[in-house]
Amino acid sequence: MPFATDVLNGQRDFSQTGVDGRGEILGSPNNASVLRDELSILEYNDALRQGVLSLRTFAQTPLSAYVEILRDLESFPPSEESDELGRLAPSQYGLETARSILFRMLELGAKIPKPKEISVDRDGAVRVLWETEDRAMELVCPYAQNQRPYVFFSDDLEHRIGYELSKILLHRLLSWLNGAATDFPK
Amino acid sequence: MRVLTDHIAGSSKALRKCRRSDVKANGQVSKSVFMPRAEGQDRDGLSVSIQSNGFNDLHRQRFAVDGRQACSITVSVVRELNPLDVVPDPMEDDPTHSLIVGIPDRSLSVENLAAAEQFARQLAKRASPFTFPEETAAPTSAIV
Repeated sequence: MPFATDVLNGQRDFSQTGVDGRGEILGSPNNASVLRDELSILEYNDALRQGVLSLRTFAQTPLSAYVEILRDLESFPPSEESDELGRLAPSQYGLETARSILFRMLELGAKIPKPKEISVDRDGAVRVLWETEDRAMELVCPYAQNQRPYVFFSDDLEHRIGYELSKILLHRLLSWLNGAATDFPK
Repeated sequence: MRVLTDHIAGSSKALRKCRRSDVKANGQVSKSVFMPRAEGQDRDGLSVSIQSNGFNDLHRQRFAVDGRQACSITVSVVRELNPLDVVPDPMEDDPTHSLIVGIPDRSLSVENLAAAEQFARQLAKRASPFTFPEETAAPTSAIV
């Protein structure tokens, strides 16, 4: 697999790169460091060398916002600390849930816009907020394992919460947020 | 100094304590500041104080310490978000203490949670960081 070998030896340049749930590496040419980070984290190097995995590239993957969000999430190390206003940090569960749902969005191939805000609320929930003109969509990943993550979405006239974060719903929400769909998601 | 026991004027400013990290460089206030707590701690309402010149020193001590600050929202602006209101809830250590009331209890239903999220979003959009006026100079006196 010469293509994979080139990547591992740093002879290929990739940007907007990632690894999906099936072990396929997605990306487009430009930034080798992102790919190498992913490879070392997930220990796919050997699998690539042995030809267990395959590499393929896409011209327009929505990775830059995704990678940026993951980096921002790194700035919220999990902790049980709190003060008079509430929790100061998320839980490991909240962070992992956020990463997992974001990856689900990435797999859809739809455009993930740059978030307006990534924060931790007073209950320690991870919040990723996107806003485009009058539309808002916020992923909320609670601190406690007995609480379900949800997406809150609203425009000037309607607001709603979705708990079933299936790929179908996420795709519908991203299409609406990006303006590809006009009807408020039901 | 007037203790709040009656209707709060629409022109009054309600101050809400937040972390400095809740206010972005562009002055935008995070929605989390107005989101009721999940386990019912804010069931009675969101805690605010009504800004008043006579209480600036007290409020500065309560709000602007240890990485905290105040953000403000005009009472009439809160009331525009029907059915929200700001009502007096005086406390011994802060007679101007009040509550933003009317936000549905988020723990009771998904619809309530969605409404609480929407109100928090609307309140945050209308809030701004508050800077207290310069501290009142302590009167100098000569003790003989």
